[in-house]
Amino acid sequence: MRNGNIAKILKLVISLTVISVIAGGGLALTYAMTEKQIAKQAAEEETKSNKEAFPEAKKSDNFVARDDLTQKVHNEDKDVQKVYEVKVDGKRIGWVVQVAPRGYGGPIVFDVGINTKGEIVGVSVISIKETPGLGQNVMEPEFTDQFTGKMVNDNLKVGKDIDGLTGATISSDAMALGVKKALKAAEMLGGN
Amino acid sequence: MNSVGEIWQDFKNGLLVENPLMRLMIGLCSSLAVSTRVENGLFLGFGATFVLVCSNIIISLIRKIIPDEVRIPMFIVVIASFVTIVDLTMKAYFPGAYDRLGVWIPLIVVNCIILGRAEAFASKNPVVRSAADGLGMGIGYTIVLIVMGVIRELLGTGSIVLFETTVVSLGSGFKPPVIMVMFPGAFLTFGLLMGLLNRLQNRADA
Repeated sequence: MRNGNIAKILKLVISLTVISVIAGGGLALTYAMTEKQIAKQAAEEETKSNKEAFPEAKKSDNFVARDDLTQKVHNEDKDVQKVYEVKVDGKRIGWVVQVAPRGYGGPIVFDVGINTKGEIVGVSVISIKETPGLGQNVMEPEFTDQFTGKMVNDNLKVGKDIDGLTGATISSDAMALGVKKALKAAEMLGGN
Repeated sequence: MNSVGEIWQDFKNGLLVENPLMRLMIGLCSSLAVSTRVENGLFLGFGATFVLVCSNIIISLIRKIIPDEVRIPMFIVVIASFVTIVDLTMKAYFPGAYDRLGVWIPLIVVNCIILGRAEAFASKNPVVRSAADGLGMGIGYTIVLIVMGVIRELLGTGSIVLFETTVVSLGSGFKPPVIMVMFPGAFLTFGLLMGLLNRLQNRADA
């Protein structure tokens, strides 16, 4: 009886172990096969969005990720996620600040391009989980273009300074807030 | 014993007679959430179909050596592995769709259709029939997702966009009722679709 029980338990343990090992092997293989492609996609996505936020810089190596400065501004404001220095011919022409303010369906991650004068040159949405056909429309140029030329001391009140989208107040507010945060971060970076 | 007719029957079963969404009414949650766009339905449908077919095949293959007491954890390991394969592959090759579907891809693991078919069909039937069942169920699921997507995207946004090209547009004069792409629209569409199907069925039976 006791031996029977042990045999039974062993059988269960062995079956579960075998299937988990096989599954683990299969997953490791898939991971190895897709890893490079995933990294490539992420990098392409990043460059594409950077270029949209800062149209003046045309090459991908114009954008230098500045992890040291990211740390600094992120400590000041948790919604600021990343800072790129935009350099053309070794000279800085501005910043791209990535922000992730909370929208209706989660954080809206977007890049804001700001030149050395402190003016916004472009806004480009990277990832958005807002309602399709409603909040999702904040990524359209009709909305984002309203921020072009704005500076850190400009008011960005939705409904007054910025035309919000009907039925998407939360998403519109989140975008305006994110832009404001990006402007503040760029001001802080200043001549660094 | 595996006659072609029998396999065809297993395949056809999932399309209408036992359509997982419209007849068995399982796996509804994902269908209501992602059917805001046709493209979402396409990708989630293909992903779920792949997982269904593969997990049905593997589970059917090992059905005689699985100890009864631990069958559910073993099913889940098999299903979760295939879901992760779909997850990684989609992330690598279709990042846009992956981003929009978000949590619904990993959630295929707990989609009742897949565990349901593993338990109710694949663990009791031979490999070929299980594969046919998985394929039928998967396609049945995908078709309903697409039909709901067509209705909701067209009415809710005024046009249907597939792979960044507008396929159908109702024109700028049409002011889309946004409710169709929000949650109430999902229930409306689903309920009306099911009512329509029942009516057709009643007609056919009478």
